[in-house]
Amino acid sequence: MSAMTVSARGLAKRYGKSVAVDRIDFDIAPGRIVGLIGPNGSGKTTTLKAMLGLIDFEGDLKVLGLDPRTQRDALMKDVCFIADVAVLPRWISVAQAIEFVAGVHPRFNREKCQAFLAHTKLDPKMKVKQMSKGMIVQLHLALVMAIDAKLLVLDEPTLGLDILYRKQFYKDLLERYFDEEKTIIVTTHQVEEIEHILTDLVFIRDGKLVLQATMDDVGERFHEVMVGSEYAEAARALKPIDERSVFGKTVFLFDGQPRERLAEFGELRTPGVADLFVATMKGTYA
Amino acid sequence: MNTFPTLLKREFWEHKGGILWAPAIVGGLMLGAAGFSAAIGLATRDGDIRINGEQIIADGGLITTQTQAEVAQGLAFMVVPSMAPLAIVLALVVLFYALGSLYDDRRDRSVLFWKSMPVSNSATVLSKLASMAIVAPLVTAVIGSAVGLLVALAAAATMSVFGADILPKLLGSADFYLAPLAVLAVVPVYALWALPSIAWCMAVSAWARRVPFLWAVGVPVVMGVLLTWKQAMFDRNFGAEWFWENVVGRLFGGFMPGMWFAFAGDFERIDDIDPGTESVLSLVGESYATLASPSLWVGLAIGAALIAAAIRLRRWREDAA
Repeated sequence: MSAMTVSARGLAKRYGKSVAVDRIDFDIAPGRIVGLIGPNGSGKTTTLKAMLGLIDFEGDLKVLGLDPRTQRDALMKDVCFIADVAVLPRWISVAQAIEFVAGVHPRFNREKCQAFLAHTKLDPKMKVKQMSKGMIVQLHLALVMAIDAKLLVLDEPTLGLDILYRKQFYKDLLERYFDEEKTIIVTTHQVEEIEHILTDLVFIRDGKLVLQATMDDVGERFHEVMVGSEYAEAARALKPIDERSVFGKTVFLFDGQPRERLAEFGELRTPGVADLFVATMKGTYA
Repeated sequence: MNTFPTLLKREFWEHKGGILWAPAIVGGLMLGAAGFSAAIGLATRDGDIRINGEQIIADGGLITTQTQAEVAQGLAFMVVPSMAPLAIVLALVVLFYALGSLYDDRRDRSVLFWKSMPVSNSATVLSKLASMAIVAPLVTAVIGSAVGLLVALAAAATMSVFGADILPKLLGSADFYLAPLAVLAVVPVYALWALPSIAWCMAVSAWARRVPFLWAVGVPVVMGVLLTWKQAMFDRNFGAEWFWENVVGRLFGGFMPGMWFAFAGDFERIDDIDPGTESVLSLVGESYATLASPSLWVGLAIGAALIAAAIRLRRWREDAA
């Protein structure tokens, strides 16, 4: 196994008395697209901020072999992040943004950036304050995609965008940016829209990781069966993690039950990430 | 890859209004005012012109050649002090620039973009400091010199029309050409005296979660008021006067070019300079002489500590209201 892109052991962060991240361990290998999914206030953003050297933390955390607390300047040569929409300064123009990144980033490719922008409606003189949210994200993505980084961190990159921009964003990311050497970590609430691009899934709740699996594992481990009322009791005996009613039948979600056994009740499906998420996070806000 | 120059460029883009447009507009207004007075003078043709309260031209009557030479010399010299309105603009621009420098981008969250670049916090903070202490005063100096020269030319030309032959004498005066150099030459003096003031506001700007202006101005002023009040209550000296003069006065006077004469305690020497006979270079010499003042070096040491604090705070502070 080659060196991990991110490796955390006992990573913890406290804000006063409240614990945002509670001693978590995880590894992220190169070439993965990891979805970090959790409810509001679960510690997603705190975890990302720790990886980016934006906050202090306890425990051990290495990103590309570097400690984000002490080696942030070196780290940022290989790490890019888009934190939320609209963090580009309002006064900057497209041309200035390109000139700035070209001036400070050793791995920035101006031609690549301009080629990407040619597919958008942005022109060089346009300032961020004149742009829609969708356009700001396009500019930010153009800047980031032109940087040959090893790790890209996306924290709610499409929040508040319409569906056209959202789809285009992930399409561009996958088709024009991602390759085996790169790693992408993404958090979002619009789980359905990214589940087809993810290779790994991490669920976080109350500062703890509650699920850590590759998408292949998820397909092996979790099954959804639509069961007629005659088998409902038998199915319930196998301790489904979730159930819901659809058209007089009941859909059960199972964790770790053998396929053969479940197949007796009805047709098997791999559950969507959103359903899995809801089942896992039950009672979070209660 | 050209990190520091790029950071300076970035600062200029963001603060073009304060660094360039504010002095350019005020300079333009000064030119307009000078042109307007000259036009009035020419139109009425019977006014008398006074400089420093002395009558130079009365009813178009000539004054002596000796005086004319002094007037020309004085005009050339006045290029420097006539920049006072621009100096006030510079002081205000740098004050507010410093207060927002490490706060505004935390408030609008663009700090997350700046921090996503491989730029150290020291480089960021130092580029902002250099932009305020050197770039902004340099731009003001260039604009101010141009305005000052044009105003002197306009005044001399007007007097020449009246028959007092000042214009050729002005053009023949070495000071006329030295004045812009003199203004540029005191920019480093400004940078050194202004540094503690800028550093204080930057540190507060990096620290404050909200309204850095209130913290930066309010804390020293409230402390001064408390000291004064205590002094009045107990009828004893708690050093209130010293505090007002050396802390509050220095902190906010430091933004104003020329205040170094007051800080170094030799305002009298400046008053003694006679614009009619002495070279503008004497202003430069006196300015550099203030660098020997211990007050400057104490201020620089404190300023350096505050900049170090600002860099540290920049590292971890991220949220602002």
